[in-house]
Amino acid sequence: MDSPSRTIRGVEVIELQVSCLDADTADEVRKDLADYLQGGKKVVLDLNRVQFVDSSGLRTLFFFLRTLNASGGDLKVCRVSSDVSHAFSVIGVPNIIDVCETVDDAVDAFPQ
Amino acid sequence: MHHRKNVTLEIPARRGQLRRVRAFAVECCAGHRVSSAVLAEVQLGLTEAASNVIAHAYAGRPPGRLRIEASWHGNEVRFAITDTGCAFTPDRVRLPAIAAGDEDGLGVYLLHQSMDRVRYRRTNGRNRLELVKILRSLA
Repeated sequence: MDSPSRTIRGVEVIELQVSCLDADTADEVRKDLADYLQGGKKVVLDLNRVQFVDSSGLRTLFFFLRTLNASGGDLKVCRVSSDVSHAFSVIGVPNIIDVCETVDDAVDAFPQ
Repeated sequence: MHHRKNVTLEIPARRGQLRRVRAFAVECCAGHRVSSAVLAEVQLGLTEAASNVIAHAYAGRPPGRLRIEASWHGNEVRFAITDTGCAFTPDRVRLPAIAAGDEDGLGVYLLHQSMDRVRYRRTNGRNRLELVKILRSLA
């Protein structure tokens, strides 16, 4: 899958390449992002390509958050489609993970 | 709302099938002028129901089949999801305390939030999950 990443002001910005983050793709996404989850990194997940998320996809995002937090890092997500945003609101994801509108907003949401 | 004949999707209960389930949801909503939000809810509800069968129904035994039959009644579409796996009781319908690390029942909660009615029955060695979605048409 090899999701492309770049570093902006010390924050890793990763654009997920899957259109569906579900039980069929969650394991692959976890493997793809494993290297980013160590060393207390600040990570932004750009979800603009993701058009569908289910409970397995949400668990994957919570796993990323907990893993990053465990090493002193943190996670923000941004550019969430309307259908994904609906699933987020049903579960209350914005109360758990910072959901930002743009990549810049997400990078700026980290304390400098 | 026009009358439609029942349609059925039958797939192996194994990984890699969820795109077919969501394509079936699109097929079932086609022609009903539903909003994208309603379509997304049907896709989410069917995905959660199918994922549950794929993950749990045939655990420890050879994978079986999963069948989804759709029928239309007035302004609602009814789905019957059947399998011959082990019994399943989707009885925990509350949002888990995710912030405290509890994610049990997340899929069942999303399933209930996506559909207007959910009912489960176990008869003659079959699981039958019935889902109803009211197809609110666009104005």
